[in-house]
Amino acid sequence: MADSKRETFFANIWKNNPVIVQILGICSALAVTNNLTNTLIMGIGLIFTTGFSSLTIAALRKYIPKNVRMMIQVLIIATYVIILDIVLKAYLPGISKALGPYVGLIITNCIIMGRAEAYAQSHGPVLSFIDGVSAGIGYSLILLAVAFVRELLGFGSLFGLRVLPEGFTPWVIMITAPSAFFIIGAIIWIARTPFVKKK
Amino acid sequence: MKDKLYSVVFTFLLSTFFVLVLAAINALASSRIEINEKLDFQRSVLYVFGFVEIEDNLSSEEIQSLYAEKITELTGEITVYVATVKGEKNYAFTVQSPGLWGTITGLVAVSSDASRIVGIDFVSHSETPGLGGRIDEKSFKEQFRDERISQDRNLRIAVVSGIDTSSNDDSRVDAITGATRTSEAVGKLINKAINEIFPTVLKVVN
Repeated sequence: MADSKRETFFANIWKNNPVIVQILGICSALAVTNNLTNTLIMGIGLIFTTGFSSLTIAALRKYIPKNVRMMIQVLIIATYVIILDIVLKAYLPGISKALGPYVGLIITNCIIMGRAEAYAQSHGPVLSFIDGVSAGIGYSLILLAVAFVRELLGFGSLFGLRVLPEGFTPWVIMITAPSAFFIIGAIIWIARTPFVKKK
Repeated sequence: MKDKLYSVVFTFLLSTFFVLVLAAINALASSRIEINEKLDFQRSVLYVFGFVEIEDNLSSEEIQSLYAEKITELTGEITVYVATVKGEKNYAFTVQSPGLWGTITGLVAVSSDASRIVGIDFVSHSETPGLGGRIDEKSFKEQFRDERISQDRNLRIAVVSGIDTSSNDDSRVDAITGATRTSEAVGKLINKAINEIFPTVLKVVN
């Protein structure tokens, strides 16, 4: 595992991307990608949560008893998600309303636990924070790519702004979850073809 | 044994610490959240009567003054919001009804004889974002404006697909693609509003 800050950061964006390489966080990838705005908000929420929960877990890693570490991790993750929820409700009510049930979905995102287990357990707080943030960014980038296709073809718009002409017939399948399977599948296939061969 | 005790004590202390942190943040933010929620609700009330549009960007002062000017609150068994639109008295009230995942709380405004829906808004719901969650979108909610309420107790407003819904007199609105169950739930919410809550509204008003 790469240990320099730079390498840690870029590893999660491409070579070790949580969605296309580790195939984590797929449930939320299916649920939130039918429009770009929601996807972006979800991505930012996840970047915040993974970053800070990895930081906290790494800072406490020497004191956390091994047999209860998963409970502790969930506790820390849940705390940050609730903080995020409260802060959004109080200071950004508009976004909070748009986000709605997604905030709860962040807790169940396997990427956060995955990073906590695979990285924060055995690395220092600063590196873990970078690792968490970049895992969030890697996830968000793939999701934005999926959402771009889905919103464009499903609604004819991008970020809610109409870009395709009025007469365009929306592809109903793009609005429903199966399309995300196809698009993510296609992205994984394209991304992995040269990458797997290199190995 | 010592290890186990350490695990228990550590977990206990850490949980206590995080709970305290959350409680503190919550206490600091709760008054702001309450204000936001109240404003949001007042905005909803103004919207269902047609005084504001969804895309209108109003400051909190504007919402409050408009609300004070246009809306009369009557409290009895339930709270009824009364406003005069085009010389006619209209009543708005909240309705709670089960959705697909959780309770949908709707704010429904009807004419005084319950012959037409004046407007509808969803105060809170937990429908799937992007699917059932699209009941929040303007294109869905605007369909209910001035829609005639049918005499059929079981189908006050039909939420349908594949049928022409363009007329305001057909008591029909378009369902949301990919959200059949949520669309049905909205139909049920309106049935409940007219059949069960509207009689109470009349009691409060008179």
